[in-house]
Amino acid sequence: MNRNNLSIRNLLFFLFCFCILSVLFLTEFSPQSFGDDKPETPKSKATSDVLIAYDAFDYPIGLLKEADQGVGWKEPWRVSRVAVPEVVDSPMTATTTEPNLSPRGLQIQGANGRNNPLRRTLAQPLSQREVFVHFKIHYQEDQKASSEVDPEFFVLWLDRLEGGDAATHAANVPNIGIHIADRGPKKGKNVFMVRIGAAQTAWSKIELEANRTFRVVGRLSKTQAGARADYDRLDMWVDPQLADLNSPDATISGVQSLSLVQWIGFSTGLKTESTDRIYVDDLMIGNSWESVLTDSAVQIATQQHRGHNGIVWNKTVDFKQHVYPLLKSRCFECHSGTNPDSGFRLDVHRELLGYSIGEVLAEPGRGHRSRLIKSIAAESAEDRMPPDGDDPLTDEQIAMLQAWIDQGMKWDDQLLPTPQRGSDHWAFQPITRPDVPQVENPDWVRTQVDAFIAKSHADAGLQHAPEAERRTLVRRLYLDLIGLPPTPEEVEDFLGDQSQSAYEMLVERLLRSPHYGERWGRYWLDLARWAESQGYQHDIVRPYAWRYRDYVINSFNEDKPYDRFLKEQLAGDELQPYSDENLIATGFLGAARISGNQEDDNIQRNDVLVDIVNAVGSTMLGLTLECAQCHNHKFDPVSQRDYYQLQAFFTNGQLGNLSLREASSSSPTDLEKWIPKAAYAFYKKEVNTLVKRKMYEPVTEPQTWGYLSAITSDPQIQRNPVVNRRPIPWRPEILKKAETRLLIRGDASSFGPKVNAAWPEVLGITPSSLGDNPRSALSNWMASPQNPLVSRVWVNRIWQYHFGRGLVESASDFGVEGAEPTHQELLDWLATELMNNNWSTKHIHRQIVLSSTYRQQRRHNAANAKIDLNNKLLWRWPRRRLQAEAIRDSVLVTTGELDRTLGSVSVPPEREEQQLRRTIYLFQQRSEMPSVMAMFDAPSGIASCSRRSVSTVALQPLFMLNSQFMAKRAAALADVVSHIAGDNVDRQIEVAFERTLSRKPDQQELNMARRILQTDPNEPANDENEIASRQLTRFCHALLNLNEFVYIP
Amino acid sequence: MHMNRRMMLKESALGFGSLALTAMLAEKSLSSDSTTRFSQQPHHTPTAQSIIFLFMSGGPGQTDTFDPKPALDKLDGQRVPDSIAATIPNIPRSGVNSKLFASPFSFQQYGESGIPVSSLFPRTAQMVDDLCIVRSMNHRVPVHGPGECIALTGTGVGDRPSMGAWVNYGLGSASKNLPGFMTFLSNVSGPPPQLPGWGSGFLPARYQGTLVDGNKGVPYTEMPGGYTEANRRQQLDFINEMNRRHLALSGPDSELEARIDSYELGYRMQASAPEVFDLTSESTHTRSMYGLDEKETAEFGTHCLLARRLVERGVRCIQLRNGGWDAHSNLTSNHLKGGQRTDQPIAGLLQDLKERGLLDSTLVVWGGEFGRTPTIEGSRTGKSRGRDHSPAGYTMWLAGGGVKGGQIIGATDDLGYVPIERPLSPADMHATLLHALGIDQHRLSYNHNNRDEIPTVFGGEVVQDVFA
Repeated sequence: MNRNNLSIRNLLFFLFCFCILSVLFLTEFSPQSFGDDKPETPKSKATSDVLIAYDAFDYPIGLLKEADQGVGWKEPWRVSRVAVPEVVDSPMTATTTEPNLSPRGLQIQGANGRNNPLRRTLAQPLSQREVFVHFKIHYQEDQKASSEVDPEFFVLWLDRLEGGDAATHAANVPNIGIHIADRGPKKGKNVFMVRIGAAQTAWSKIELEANRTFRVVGRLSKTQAGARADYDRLDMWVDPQLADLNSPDATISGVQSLSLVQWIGFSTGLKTESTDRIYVDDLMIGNSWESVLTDSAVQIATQQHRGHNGIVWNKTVDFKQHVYPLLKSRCFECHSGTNPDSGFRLDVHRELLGYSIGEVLAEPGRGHRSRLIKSIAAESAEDRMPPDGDDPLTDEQIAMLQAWIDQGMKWDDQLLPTPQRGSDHWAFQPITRPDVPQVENPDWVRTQVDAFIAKSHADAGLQHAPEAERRTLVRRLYLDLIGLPPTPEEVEDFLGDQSQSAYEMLVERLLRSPHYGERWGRYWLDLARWAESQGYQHDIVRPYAWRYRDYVINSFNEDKPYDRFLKEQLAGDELQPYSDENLIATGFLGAARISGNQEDDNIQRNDVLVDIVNAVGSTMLGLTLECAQCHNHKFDPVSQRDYYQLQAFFTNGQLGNLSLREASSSSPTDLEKWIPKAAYAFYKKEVNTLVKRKMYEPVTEPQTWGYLSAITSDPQIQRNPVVNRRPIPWRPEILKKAETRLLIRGDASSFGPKVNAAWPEVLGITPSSLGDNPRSALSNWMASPQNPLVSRVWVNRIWQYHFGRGLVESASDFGVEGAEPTHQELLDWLATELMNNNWSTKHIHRQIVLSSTYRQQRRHNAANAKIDLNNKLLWRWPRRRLQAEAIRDSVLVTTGELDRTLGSVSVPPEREEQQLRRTIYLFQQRSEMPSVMAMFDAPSGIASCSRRSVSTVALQPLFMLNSQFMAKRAAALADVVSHIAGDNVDRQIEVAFERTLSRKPDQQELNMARRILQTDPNEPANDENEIASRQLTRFCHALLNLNEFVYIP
Repeated sequence: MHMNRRMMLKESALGFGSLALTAMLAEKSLSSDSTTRFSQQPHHTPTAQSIIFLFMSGGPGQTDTFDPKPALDKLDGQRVPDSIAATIPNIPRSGVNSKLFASPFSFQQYGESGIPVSSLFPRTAQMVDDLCIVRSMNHRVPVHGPGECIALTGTGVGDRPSMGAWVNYGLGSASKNLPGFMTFLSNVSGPPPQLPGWGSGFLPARYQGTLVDGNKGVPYTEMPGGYTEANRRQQLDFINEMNRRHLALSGPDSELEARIDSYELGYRMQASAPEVFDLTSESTHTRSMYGLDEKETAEFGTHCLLARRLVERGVRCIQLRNGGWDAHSNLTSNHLKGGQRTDQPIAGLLQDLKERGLLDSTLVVWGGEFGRTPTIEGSRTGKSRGRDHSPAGYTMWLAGGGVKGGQIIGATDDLGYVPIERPLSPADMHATLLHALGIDQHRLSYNHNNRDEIPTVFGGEVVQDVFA
């Protein structure tokens, strides 16, 4: 989401750049002290060793976009649009002597084509007789499993002109770097070389070695003196010692070149793949051999930046005495506490380091570069802190704070301790089993649920409603538990069963019905944002996603313990022993959408990870974690770091088609059978394109759509390619190394610090080691009795699906801003009941549907309504409309047309009439949901949906009255009715009522029905039979439109 | 930004903004147990009652339509100068390394304002004094699907309500018999239409746009065989009576009542919708204004005429999506076709609205999900040259509904790549459109997942100079 937030980011970035500029301007460094070189006088040793320009690249971590540090430059770095270099913790051998500085370096990646990742213009052009240039390079091997030499190209160039991203800087331009030798003893090897123009190359004998740091020095010199003479000689040393001046490793001379150098930059070439990583550091340009060899740029840089505005704080800074009073009086008013301005918090040490939101305010040892100093020292009042016309801090105060940072940013934890991320919010507290209340009327208590409800009734002064008629209850149970109305025979069976336990027996029978899973599994599919297509623009189908739908249905039917259910879905690819079922369960993670034409792989990947984290947070934890993607959660004690730490559990995996192994997993292979026609045509077209590009090969063995880790999955799982315009790549080597970065303000290209996998701190401490399978550890934690949310959230959802509203109304927000529970003790009692009974969902169903609370009538009671208008305390049966699926399924039950086949591949719209199966089996393409679902508020599988809204629009009656589907059903129902009832109108009415409403009409209804079935003498028809049949059809059609038909009684 | 909005929201709740408050109350009752139909009042006096969004899917090129670039003619075939290349944001397929491509279309100044319009739109150009041309639109998503979502919902993800749905939620339909938001698709070639563009996101489904087939009208308004007006009425009476009895048993219940009402509304819609879609009553003059009898313009012309008829009947928001502008190659013939398809109908719509006195209260908006690069895509030559997507800077225009015509807002650089003056985001455009309709983007809120969501989640400011 946040990648659209560009205007704000840009603004921040401009501010940031401005700050850098102003700091540079204010430093005591004066460029005049350099460059006292006299180009006219040839010399091998300068009278004084002077650096002309340098950059130590010890910037804050992140992409190097127009970064402006170092000395001797005219403008900031310009970077390529193709592959932006990044400042990282350097893998090079440390050279810094500063104890508090972690070495930083520049990471450049290849672009599979000519690219100038970065270039910069010097403050003063070079034309002196002799110039030395120095840089360090470290080449990280890519993961090609080949013994052949992988040709590379990487150079530093010195040119008059900048060129563009793709300029070659070859003709007459001095280059120093690495290239594959085309001749000489090292022919065919990547060696260090110098060249002036592509044809004039001198190959050294020094081969590039991967994962090793090389120090490269070049000398550019003029054999003729004078500003207009050419730099016609170029020498190079690799890893030189001071004594090596006279023995360069490669030299080129006597060639036409430039007389003046103003731009310096690096180039990568065609041979540098995007997986290649090249690290560069310590770029220095000096007037002498010694000037570039004796010190590291970091040391010089660090020395250069002492103090502020000429004032240097040389004493040791004492936090308590110096820093604390200043921060307290000038900053803490806005920048402390849990909701600091702009998210920047200064009263916690680790927050200065960017702990929660990734934006580093200060790093020990890097005072002059710190955002803190930049903002307090900003020139313009608009950019400066404290803001709004407050007096700026004094130069001395700024120098002191800078010195404090440089000296290691010591803190007083007694004075300002790191706050524990705790909360007294009820939902984050451990669950304890409450005592069941004693009630006055124990007869009403059928299950303990009733005791809690009765107590709240008594407390509020409410009267519960009497028990509903058995005829009502049987319909209620059927619709609620299996999503299908009872047939007239099933109603009679129940009414005829006079035994004490008839109700209990019916509940058991329905819970054992395979249709139970079809009803209750659908709720989970809503939560899982499951669908059978990739989503976004192309929305290409996922032909094997149906298996997850069946997995969910079967899991509900088996009453799979909820903890196990979660574990399989979070870590099914890791679980041992392997089973197809476990692997299919990863379809929960796999249900994330994938853009078919997101050009930026980073964004495409981030979108998937965000989707997964949001779904896990919402579905399982009942938290609105998505807020923390871009900033610390405003209400809940969830930080942005928490968000990315949770993301880290999923970073090493990828979605895809996964092969199944068990014989029982065989299935139809003819995709055309279950994919909608237009979608299939598009799919086939994309397949053909991918096959031509050798990116796809059709697989005929059984597959599922799921999620696979490159590290922790069962190693035998085979991933098959995915059909997508821009296929999501399966690159295990890259996935294995993938790190999770906190994304600053949620922007997929603004990398903050690396974070490790952990669950939200407020919910418990993550152990320091999560073992070999962190995701399994997550799933174990998720489904552990200690987790305060998971069981509460699940029993609350079950309650909601039975009564239309949860005990906590915001079923996917148990956070601070979530709804207060109406019956917290009941919620906790149910949660412990769930855990004490092996996480059995059906056990919870029984506690609820066997209760007296559940069996109440829907009867109005004016006195109750005065106290509790909205029936929050359940003093009567709550009104609840059937969901889209149950509406369509109910219609098919009344007509007797429902094909009750269970599971397997989906039904495309073209075959709907031939296979009148339950709605859950209709093909679910995100952009083309079945019309009845789109019409009646079914979610389109984009985000986890905890509760469907109930909207009432005029198109619904039009659909119910005029659609071809409904017209056919009405006719079918009329057929059945007349088949059973013959020509007897009263009998027809009775049968039609029984089939649609599970009851007989009363006298008045009978009269109303007779009226509508009276022959209209004006109706044109061939014979009376036709008229009668049409009338019956219209009557049946009307019954299917009644509120009573679409509401659970 | 977040805090500001939140604070404003609080203020408005305290300070009693009618709509914000009613919206909040309505949500309360929605999420509790009844469906309240709240009075949908604007926050301030609107300048427009209805909006017609002419969405040109695929992305017409700004330099070929309303943003002429003489420098491009001079630099045709050359590389992008470094000075401009350096300012182009880092967006994939920005085409910055390709050669520049002068527009194959000529520009001419029109009207009193003398605003230049390309030869693609000679008829629309006649109305240029009514157009406010915004040349500095920009965002960062160079892909159709997410781009369309950004243009119509504000973000690329496709999970938020479309602007039309927000309008429908905020204002409702002024028509008793027709949905408040209707959308039409024409020339559906190229990128497929994005459902979120007229979806309701997290708003209740009732606010989504009704997708209408221009030839068939509102879906399901045709009765199945065997029905007559009379026996449908009889059937509805039966349903109504049964539903009333059912309601009486359960006591007052606004949701059940709403469902009872919906049958009557459906009935009225069924009765009145065919009339709206029956164009036989329109004069020959009108038909020709919209180009109904020409092959190229018939489809889009019909939609434009229907839009006018819907506006007359109080429909708030009409979205006409016209596909086919995605000129990766053969820009000349592609855009010529686009012009032929839409110029006459659009000019007809503007003129017709004006003649009927409806333009003052009807906001007409034109634009795609992005513009196109000033450079050639790839290395094509001659007539096969095309342009790639370019969200970095593109043009939209507005007319009617209180808009000050004959003006240009914003400017791109010499090549038409990037805004150099008054850069505006789709969110700014949304804030402006809502403002015209009397909706304050900060005060129209809907509580979703316990957050008070507003239409412009990532900011966006009303562009005041759009208005007279």
